[in-house]
Amino acid sequence: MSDSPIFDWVCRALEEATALSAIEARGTVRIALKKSGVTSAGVTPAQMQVVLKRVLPEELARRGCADADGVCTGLAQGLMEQHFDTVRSGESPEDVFARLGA
Amino acid sequence: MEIIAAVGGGAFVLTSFVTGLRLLWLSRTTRQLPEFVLGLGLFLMGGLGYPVMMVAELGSFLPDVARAGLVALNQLFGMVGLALVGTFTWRVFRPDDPRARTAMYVFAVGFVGAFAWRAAFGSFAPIALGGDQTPLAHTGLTLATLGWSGAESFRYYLQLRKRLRLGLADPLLTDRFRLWASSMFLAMLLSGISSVCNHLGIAFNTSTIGVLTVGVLGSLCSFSVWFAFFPPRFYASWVRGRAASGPAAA
Repeated sequence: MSDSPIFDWVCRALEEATALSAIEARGTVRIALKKSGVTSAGVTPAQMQVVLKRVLPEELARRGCADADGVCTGLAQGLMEQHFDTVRSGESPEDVFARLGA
Repeated sequence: MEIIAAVGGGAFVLTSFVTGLRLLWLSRTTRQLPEFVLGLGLFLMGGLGYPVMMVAELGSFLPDVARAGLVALNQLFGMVGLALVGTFTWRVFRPDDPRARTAMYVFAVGFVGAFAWRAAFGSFAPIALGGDQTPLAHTGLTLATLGWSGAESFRYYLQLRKRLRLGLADPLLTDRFRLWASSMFLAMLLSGISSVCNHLGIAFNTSTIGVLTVGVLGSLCSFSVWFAFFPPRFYASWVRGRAASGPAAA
């Protein structure tokens, strides 16, 4: 499955805001998503906001990135101003299991 | 001893019957495939298949040909039910994965082949009457289908548990994946023990080991399914409270 435009946007913005290369930025965001239980293909803007606030700062700090919190706050604000035409390809397992419960 | 088996077996039948019917009823309004295939699968396997098998094994008042017919019916229900559970797993967890689609075709063809082989070269007489065991290929496919279903659900549960720590998932929904995975693994274990016993010539449903296995694993499996789809209020409160009390608790 291909990566979502939300993931691509955050990776590009992170690359521009830090000294990380494109591969390093994508790898770092991918690790943060994995630690959050979210996939790069299915991440939603709301989920990405939480990852940017609570998981990515630690990952950036671990990679020696200066002002990791400030960078992530900037990314979160920038993400809020974006509009993504995300088309969901069917239901997630969560959607189905939510429906099955009484 | 018989009471233990009756409780386990009875709980299994009741849970499969009620849950199956409820999901089928749900599919009437949603028109969605997952609830239809899972509902029908549970209904056929546990709600109808298991009682039919018990009548075949224990119904000494019936003519042998009728008992063999019931065993054949049980095999058919089990085969179709498992294929439906496999379809549920494929469509819910890996709808776009060609490997999952191929696996489902292999399961379906394998089940039909195993049933046809037994019909052509064996017999459907109950084991108690010296009948044939379920072919090994059928047993392998059964374990693979249940194991795959459990593994996919457990993998998703682990993902949701991480989200839960960040407030990105619902505790009860997360727990539903864990319970469904547990029920599939318990059913796989029960099926595996039953197959080993039958291949050793032990009439599983009437033996001590069978009674204990059905009693314990059948009860646990039933509770897992029931609590997954009909969580009692006290259990739902406990799950939510546990999730709220700490990130590691989920």
